[in-house]
Parts: sequence; structure tokens; C-alpha cells
Amino acid sequence: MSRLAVRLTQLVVLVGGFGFVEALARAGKIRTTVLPAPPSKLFRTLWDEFAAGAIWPHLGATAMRVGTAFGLALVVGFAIGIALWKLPVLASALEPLLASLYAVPWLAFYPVLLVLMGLGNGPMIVTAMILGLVPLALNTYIGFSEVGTILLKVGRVNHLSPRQTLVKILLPAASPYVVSGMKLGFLYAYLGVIGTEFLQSSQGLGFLVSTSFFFFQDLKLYAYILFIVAITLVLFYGLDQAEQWIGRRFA
Amino acid sequence: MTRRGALARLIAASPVVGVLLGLVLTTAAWYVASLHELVPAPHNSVRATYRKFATGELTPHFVWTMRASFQGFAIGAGFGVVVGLALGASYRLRQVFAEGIYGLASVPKLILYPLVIAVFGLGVASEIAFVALSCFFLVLINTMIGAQEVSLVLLKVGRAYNLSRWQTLAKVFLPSIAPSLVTGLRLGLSMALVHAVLAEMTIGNDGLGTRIWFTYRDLDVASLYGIVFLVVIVGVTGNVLLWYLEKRLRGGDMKRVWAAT
Repeated sequence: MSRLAVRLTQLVVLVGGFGFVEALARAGKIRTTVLPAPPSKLFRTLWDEFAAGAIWPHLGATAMRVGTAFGLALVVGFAIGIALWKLPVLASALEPLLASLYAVPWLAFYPVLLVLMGLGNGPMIVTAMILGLVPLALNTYIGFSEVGTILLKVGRVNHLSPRQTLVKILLPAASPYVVSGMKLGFLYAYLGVIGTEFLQSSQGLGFLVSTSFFFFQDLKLYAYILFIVAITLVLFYGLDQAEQWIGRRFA
Repeated sequence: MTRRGALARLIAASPVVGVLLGLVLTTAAWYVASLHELVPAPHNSVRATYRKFATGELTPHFVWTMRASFQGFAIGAGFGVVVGLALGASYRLRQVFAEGIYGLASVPKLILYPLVIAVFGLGVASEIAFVALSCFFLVLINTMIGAQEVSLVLLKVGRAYNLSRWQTLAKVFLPSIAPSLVTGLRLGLSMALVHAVLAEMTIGNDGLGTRIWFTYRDLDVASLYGIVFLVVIVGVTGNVLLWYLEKRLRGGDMKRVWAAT
């Protein structure tokens, strides 16, 4: 199929899907405990929430936490990645454990951090930072390890300083791995913030979902969930485009 | 890995060294952290958790979490493999749905738990469905990648040898898909345990996740650390075992797996 045909089909699937659910809900074929209102009404509720202005402080809190957590994850993850690359024997011995960092329930450490730091932004940001730095550290380590010895030798022949080696050789050569690590790191940090907000907090998008869930505000609950799914998709495709753009520039 | 010496190869070949090293490093770091008054020493944590098992207080919760993880994983992985094979086999289906699937896979699953509860009601059915949802996408995506990689040349060779449908499946398809499939199952199983605990941390009275909040509220910090690390140990053990299976299937080359995760 051509690109246009693909896009059209996707549009048909999306609109058709929503239309189908809308028709079923309007005809009363879906229990209201499962879906409280047709999708159109949920979009309407979301619109009203924005118009009333109640959602903005929560959006701001989430954005601030994600930004801070990702910023910290960039610095720490990059540093850990370079340390692993500098210690290849240690890193290769720990390899299966490093891969298992994705299997660790980092969000379960949130209560542990709550004990240490008390309620507030701190534990959320630290949890999200840890989630975000895992792909960053691992991709930096793998990316740098994959840089050919020849390239590094060329650098040595030309008497590059360590800084020049990093900027002129290592980073460009490892950029596919590093950039994809940054993309994943951002998505994981975002996931960590939404998750911790959902589990225990008093502000943020995750909090909006959990509070409307525990207070049985069905319409708002579904509207917020739709909103978060939409934000995630925008973030995902935005970062994906950015990754491809950077890939083309270095290629 | 171009920079490796003989020592590194020796260490990498033996799973025991790495795991022991990791264990020693983690315990050492934990002891250092326990200089802080709010961090329990590892041996106190182990003792408190062991006592909770000895009295039978924690055992049913442990069993509950394991059972919910495995049941959810079985369902989610089953669906993931079927849909993944379908998408892997059809270029057209991939064109239309692959982008959407990658996008949906990165939605924070926890916020979907209220929806799952709305459909399945409060109780273990919801937890299992949520776990299934959490591992579905990873298994799907990796199966799809594996199914895409079945080489046309090998299929032609099979046809030249007049292989039956079942022989083609067993001798060509499965060996080609197996490495990616194990990647998917490894990541899926990890996600299953993580999300079982997260579901329990959200609502309910059974499972290790509920115990995490209980010990937190009782300020029983020693048990809190013990339970969290218990979950970590179970998850990491499963992951490491499947990692070595995967490494054998891939002939030792795990570079692409790193980048894919």
C-alpha cells in the first residue's frame, strides 16, 4: 500500500473504532459501569475540564517533575554508561544483571523513598529518574562499546584530547544508541512520574486519575485516561520523529 | 564488544561470577546506605522478612502474587504470540497497525487499571487481566520482529526439499522466530511480575504489593525493604535465567537485544 493509502486506512480504523463504540454506547449496548458515556461525551467532559482551568496546575506539576527527572537521568545515566564502558571487564560480568534492570519493579521503591524523603516532589522525581536512567546508561554503554577501534585509533593518531574524542568520535558514532536511549529514558521518566502520582500524591495527571477512580467520578476518570493516552501517543511519535531526524543528520 | 580481554571472556562465560558480584555489590551498597537511620541493615531486613514467612503471615501473599503473575503472563503472552505472528506474517497489517501498537505499548499501564476493574470487577480477575495487558504488547512486538525475520531463502530451500507444512513450521519457522520469542517472553515475564505488584499496590488486600503499603503504614521499614527486595530477587532471577537461554539461542550475540529493549 502507498503511504497515503496506509494513512487513510489508519484514519478509517480509528474513526470507525470510535464510531462503533459511540453507536453501541448510544444504543445502550454497553453497561454504564464499563463505559459511563459515549466517547463524544467523554471528549466533552475533557473539554469542560480544560475550559474550567482545573487541569492546568496538574499538567504543570507533571511536566515539571518529568523535566527534572529526565534532566537528572541524562546526567547520571550518561555518567554510569561511560563508567561501564571504561570498565569493560566489570560490565561484561554484570551484563545479565544490567539487562535485568528492566525487570526491577522500580515503582515499588516509591514507598521506600517516601520513608526516606517524606511526601512531596522528591520521591516522585527520584523514582522517575531511576526509571529514566536505566535505558540511558545501558544504551550509552553499548553504543560506546560498539565504536570501532579504527575510529579511536584515527583519533589517537591525530592527537585528539579526551574531550575532542568524545565530541568528534564517540558521540557521533554511538548516536543511534544514545539517542534511542534518550527517547526511552524520557518515556520511562514520564511513566515513573505518572505511576508515582497515581500511587500516592496530591497533584498531577496520575493523581487526577486515581482521585476520580477512588471517588467514583466515572466521567472524569475516563476523560483523564483518554487524555493521558493521547499525551503519551503525541510524546511517543514526537520523540520518534526527533530520533529519525537526528539519525538523518548524522548519517 | 571489541575491547574485551581473556579475563572478561572467562567471566562473561560463567553466570555465577556476575550474579555473585552483583549480589555482593548490592549488599555492600545497602550496608553503606544503612548508616542512615531510616534505612534498615540488610541482615535485619532479612530476619524480619524471614520471620513473616516463618509465622505464615507473608506466605499466602507471596503465593498470590506468583500465581497472578503467571496466570496473567500465560494469557497475555498467548494473545501476544498469536497477534504477533499475524502481524509478522502480513506486511499490510503491519503497515496499518504497527505504529499504533508501538505507541500504545508506551502508555503507562497503571492508569489503565481502573478501566480493567470497570470491566472485570474488583478481585483477582482484574489483576490477572491487568497483568495480561502489561505483557501483551512486549510479547507481540518481539514475536512480530521474529516472524518478520524468517528468511525467504530458507523457505524456498524448504520447498525445494518438499517439506510438509508441519515440517516447515518446526524446521524453518520456529528456529528463526525462537530468539525473538524468548526476548519477548523474558521481557513479558518481567513486566508481569512488576505489574502484578503494581496492581496490588493500587487496590486490594492480597499479594505482596498490598504488604508493601501495609509495612509502610506500620513504619515496619525492615519488612518493607525485605518485601521490595524479595520482588526484585524473583524478577531478576527469572530474567537472568531466560537471558542465558536467549544468549544460547542467539549464539552469544546479544547486542541487538540491548538496543531493542
